[in-house]
Amino acid sequence: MSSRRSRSSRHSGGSRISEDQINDLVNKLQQLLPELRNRSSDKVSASRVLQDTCNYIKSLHREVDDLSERLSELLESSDTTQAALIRSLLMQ
Amino acid sequence: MTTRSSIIRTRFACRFLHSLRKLNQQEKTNSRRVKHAAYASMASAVGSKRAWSRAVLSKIRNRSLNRNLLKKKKRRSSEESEFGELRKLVPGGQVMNFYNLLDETADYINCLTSQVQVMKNILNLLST
Repeated sequence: MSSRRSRSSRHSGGSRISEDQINDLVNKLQQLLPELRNRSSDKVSASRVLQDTCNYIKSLHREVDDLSERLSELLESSDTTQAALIRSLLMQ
Repeated sequence: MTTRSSIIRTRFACRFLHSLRKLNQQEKTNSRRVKHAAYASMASAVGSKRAWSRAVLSKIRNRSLNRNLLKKKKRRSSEESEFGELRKLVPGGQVMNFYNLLDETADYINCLTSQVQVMKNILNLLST
């Protein structure tokens, strides 16, 4: 934790942020990725983690797209939706 | 961690259901509106503590301001170009330093997975 300089660094180059801090974050990211979660971190390169992170975010965005599509169809189609929505609201 | 994400999940669900109910009262709705409501509800559930949610909220509140931010972002050193894709995917990522980008990305992924999960639950609830 030699972070006196790194904390004050506001530059994008990242040269003053210690490598350990970056590695910690990359490991944290790796734990969030379904495909890499169970692998030992020294076997996965940082660029692989970053690439998979991008892919995972994109797949989540696609899921949101798809779910929005289906939800809007549901809102359009049925008259009972209102009642169902209110019911589900009450369950919160 | 678990408590925070469950709080956010509940907040998101409340806000999103509220928006859905509003959308449902309108004459017409489409998937784009539902999608915007979902992202806006999540950003509002997270609040202003995170850079990515601030970016989403300011994008909604003030589109012209956002355009100015986008102009500023352009200058990036070439060594960072491989993170260009990640910067584009995480809201506000274009104006963050690398350390913050990674930190915000982790939070954003957590929130997105919650968002997807809750949207699935709502869809199941409504389709039965």
